[in-house]
Amino acid sequence: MRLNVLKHLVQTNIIYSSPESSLARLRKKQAKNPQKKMDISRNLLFNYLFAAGLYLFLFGGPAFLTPLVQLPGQFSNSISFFLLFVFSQGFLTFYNVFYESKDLTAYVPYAFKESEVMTAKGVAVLFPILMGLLPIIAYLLALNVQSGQPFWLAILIFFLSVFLLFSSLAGLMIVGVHFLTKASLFRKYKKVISTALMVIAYVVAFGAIIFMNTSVNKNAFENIEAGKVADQIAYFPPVQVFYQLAVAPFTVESFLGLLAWLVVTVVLFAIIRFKVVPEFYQAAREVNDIPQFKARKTRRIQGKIGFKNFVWHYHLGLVGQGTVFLQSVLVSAILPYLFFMGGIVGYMQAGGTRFLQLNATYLLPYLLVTGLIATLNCGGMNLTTIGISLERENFDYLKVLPFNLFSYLKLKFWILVALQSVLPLLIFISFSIFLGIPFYLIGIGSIFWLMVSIAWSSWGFYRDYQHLVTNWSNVTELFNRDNNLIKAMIGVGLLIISVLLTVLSAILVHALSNWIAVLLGFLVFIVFGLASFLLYKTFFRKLKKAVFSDK
Amino acid sequence: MIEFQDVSKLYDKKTALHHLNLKIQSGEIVGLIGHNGAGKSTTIKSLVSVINPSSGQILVDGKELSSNRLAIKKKIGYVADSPDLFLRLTANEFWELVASAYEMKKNDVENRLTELLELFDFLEHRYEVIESFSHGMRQKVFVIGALLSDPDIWVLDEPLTGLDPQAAFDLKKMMREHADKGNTVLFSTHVLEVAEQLCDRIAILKKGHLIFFGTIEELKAQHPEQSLETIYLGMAGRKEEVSDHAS
Repeated sequence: MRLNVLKHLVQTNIIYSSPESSLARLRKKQAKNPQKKMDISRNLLFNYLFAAGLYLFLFGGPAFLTPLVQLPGQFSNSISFFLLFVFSQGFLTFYNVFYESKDLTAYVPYAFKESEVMTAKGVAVLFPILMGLLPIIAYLLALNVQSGQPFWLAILIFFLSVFLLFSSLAGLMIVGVHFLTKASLFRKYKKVISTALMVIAYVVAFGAIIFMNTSVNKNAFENIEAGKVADQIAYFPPVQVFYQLAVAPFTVESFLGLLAWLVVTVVLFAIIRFKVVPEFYQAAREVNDIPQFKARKTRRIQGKIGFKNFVWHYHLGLVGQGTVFLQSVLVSAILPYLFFMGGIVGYMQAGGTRFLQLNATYLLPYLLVTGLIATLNCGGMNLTTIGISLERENFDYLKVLPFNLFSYLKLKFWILVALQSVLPLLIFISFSIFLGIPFYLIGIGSIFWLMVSIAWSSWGFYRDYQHLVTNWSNVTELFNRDNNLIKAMIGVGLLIISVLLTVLSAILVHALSNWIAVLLGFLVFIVFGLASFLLYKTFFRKLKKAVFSDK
Repeated sequence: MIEFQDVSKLYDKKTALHHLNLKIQSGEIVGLIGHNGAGKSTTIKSLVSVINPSSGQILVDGKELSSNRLAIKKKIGYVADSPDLFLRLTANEFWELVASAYEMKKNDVENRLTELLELFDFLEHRYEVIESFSHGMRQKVFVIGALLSDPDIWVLDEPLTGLDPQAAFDLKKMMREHADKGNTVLFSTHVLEVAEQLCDRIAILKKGHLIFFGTIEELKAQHPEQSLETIYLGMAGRKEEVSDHAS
């Protein structure tokens, strides 16, 4: 294997394994100084190492300050969640680097060895999952240091645990991706399934982190103070073997557990050796070569083919593309509820089935929570934010046709609002019913959700026209247009302020008399309604001006 | 010398290449001509290892391709039919990657790049992302990549598509000079004038079958007083068009 070739291949694959947004930011920086070479892969590598270091400090560091020997549940759950995090991110990265990058065929005519390409890709997969791997290593090391075993035995068990965990995880990932890509269903719906994978990976990773921070067992601390082993349920029992192995290595339980992990690892490696390796390169190349654009059957338009009917069907086709629907409708619909997941789980663990017996007095905080949900649903990652760009070059062609472009855009906006609102509203209503909120409040909340959503959507629609991109390669790229760190920080700041205001409003209405609290709620409803209407009018006035000045 | 010995390629049940026998000598430019789907790209992709033939073998300088891939790849500079590859990289990142595969020294890469960048008027786009380029500019990136290591054999699939007139002229001149030094150039084209102007010999393919291999003069001698277009359409085109042209 040639080291210099390997270095360049790793650099190339780091670029391919990086999130679109990180790469776009660095490319923008490079574009400002087009005559000077910028080592993008080194910058990306630094980002990965920085993130890994941060995760190690935030999540791995506390492991050394926690009496893990007394907390088998916390040890197992922490490792399990990071394994889940690594698996979801690793599965996606592995799939992206080996299959989705579509570059395996591209390397073939050049003087690279297959082994060089594969090794480089393997190394490139490692960096994005480093931030999950390091905390696992920290937990295993901390437990073995605290276990009280002789030093040589503790170190031996530590390395054995790391080897078994990581090799079985890597094996599972390789076997999983390989058989997934060989499945006929995957080959038929490659684009949709790969996007679904991406969504699942993000949701799982995000959820795992939230879970980590919220699933603290209060009883555990009382037990620690009493010097006992704190009893906490392990969500993924096989990981508890590593706890047993560290604290009581010479027991039947440890031996059997170790044997089970060894069997799993050996079986996975046998599958890789005899099934995956012989057909891996060919399978990956075949996935690369699956045509991206297949001829689709056209939908037959029922009834009279009027302009509105045509525009409606045209947009159903645009949104019906797998990636667009998943990223701009499904993800944005689920996103706000991930924030509440920790609270809901805690509440359910406490045995609750009804959240609060809310009444009209709590209209104000309920509206503010609804506003927050609507903002997370429609404040940047929804259909109206990308709707015009979705048309690609078609939009330029539409400008040539003899009809009023502004009227078309207005119709388009309302169609997109309708398409993007159904799912989030359904989730919102179901969520409210689940929390036991009265129906009249849910009705008012739904209208309020629509008002806030329309305000955000008008802003996003105008922004899309302003920063129109027709040669985009994926939807994420469209969402990340015009983004920068300062704007992101301001966004997070505003979100925190909104959450604080919501909490304050709940305290406030509690202190006020009922009818003043209700009045205040309605006042906010009216103010937001007016603001939403004015924002809609303002952005469409700007849009009209922009459309006519383009002519 | 490149030799295709009884090479066939089947996709499912469709034959893309049917028992191809072709011998290309060193020092000549050979043009592959044929309609879409005639087997030009399949021939080229078999030679550069992008696809494996279903049967037959390919020899380069007497060595069998499937058992000497890396050594043979080092002798070949290739331009693909579609330049939509490595889109996330900048042009420079792509060239550095290619140069590493051919184990070029840093100084040699820089000198050769400077020469090619000036020739193709590409200096100011060196650090731009390939995805942002037009078709013609992407084509230039891959032509430069193919010529970077100064390989003996140039294999170019539709190399002039999208190039501006100056770049097309320069590339044609370079192809001629390269062959005159005793090297080999194999390229595919739809443009008969280019083939007539540039090729020492042409290979006409029709539905995977080689229907003519020889010089333009030999072809014209078989069909006196007819233009190359009429002759070609007579061999590879639809019959009614041929009679229209002939009349």
